[in-house]
Amino acid sequence: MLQFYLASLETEEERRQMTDIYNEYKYILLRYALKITGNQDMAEDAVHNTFMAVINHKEKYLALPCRDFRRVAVVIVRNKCIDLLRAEGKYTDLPYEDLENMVEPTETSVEETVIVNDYYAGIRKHLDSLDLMSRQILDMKYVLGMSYKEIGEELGITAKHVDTRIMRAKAKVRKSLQSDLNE
Amino acid sequence: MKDVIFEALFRQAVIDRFEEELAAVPSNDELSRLYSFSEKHILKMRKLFSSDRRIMRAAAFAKWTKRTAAAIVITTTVLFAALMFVPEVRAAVVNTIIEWYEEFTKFTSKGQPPSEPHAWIPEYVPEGYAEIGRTSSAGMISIDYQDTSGNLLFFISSPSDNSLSVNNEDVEYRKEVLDGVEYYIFEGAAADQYNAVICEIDGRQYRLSAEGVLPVDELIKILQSVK
Repeated sequence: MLQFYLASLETEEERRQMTDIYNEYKYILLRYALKITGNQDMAEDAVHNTFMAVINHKEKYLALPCRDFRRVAVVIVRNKCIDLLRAEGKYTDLPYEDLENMVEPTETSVEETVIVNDYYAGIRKHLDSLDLMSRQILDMKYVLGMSYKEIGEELGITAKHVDTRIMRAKAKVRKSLQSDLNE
Repeated sequence: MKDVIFEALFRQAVIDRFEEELAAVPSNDELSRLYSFSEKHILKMRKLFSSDRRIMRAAAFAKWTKRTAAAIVITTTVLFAALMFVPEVRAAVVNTIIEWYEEFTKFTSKGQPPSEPHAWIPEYVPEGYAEIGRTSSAGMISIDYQDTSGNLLFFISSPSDNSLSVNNEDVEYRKEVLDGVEYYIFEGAAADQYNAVICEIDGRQYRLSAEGVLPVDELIKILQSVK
């Protein structure tokens, strides 16, 4: 099947730059994608779609410093994984409120030791128990500094939904933290 | 806990968690030992990064707009006078207009369509090449081939009333006539540039393009095998 790309790499310099970036980040992105999808084909598609997105917005992404590009690329590949999982039917026909019951956290345990009565450590602990969608929204907001509207556009939800997800995530973490403190 | 404190800690925890997860990713060397990509993915990525191919393939299907650069118009007619004055003559008349645009050369054949609308494809393909994709749309057929080294070969067959375009930057153009067929040849100036050949046979246009590993003679041989 022929594919038509919205943007192209028009110069040899751009092609070289994209190839270098791909070679530098492909394994990192595949790792993230595999953790989320658990499927090699789907993970590879997510990586491919990520670089398509980078090419389509090359003026914005290729100008980023390495460290910022790395963050953005990770967020994009996770978005693409979510899109692919949706297309597979794992997310469709479900209200957004039910999605958090569908996707389990990908990390199985917290690496660092939780120190009782340490708020920060407690928050960190309970962040890991949030569902993938909520963590993705939080990363897009706090790590990339995106607006609710921008996050909504990327994930195909309304800004109001984004706001609701963030509020619920905070409430959940806070409640869990309070439970820890009360123990 | 005060809201302000919680908000600040929460925000910092999200950022720190993300950064630590990223920092915990093994080195590229280690990752390359743990993970690998399929051939299918590698091929997709090569296509994604190759804009030359996209431009050439998009031109075959997209509507083309005129450029304002100086144009060289060459018109070749066969039996034109006979057609003009003897309309009942049924000999095939082929008018080929080559319009040389700034970056692309557009071929528009105004010949009569073939009496039998068959899709003609090459019978000969160079050793090592295998078909990897085929598309058919509105009478136009596109076939992609690839060899074991990943070099690509693109074949397009279209009705004579369509237009085919080819990149004419950094190429040397010439025309050859073999066995009564005119071949319009665009030979890449550099070894790794694309070579392309366009011809018209029995009312259908054909374009064959490939990376410089395949010489023009081989492209003509492939087109001559079209049945």
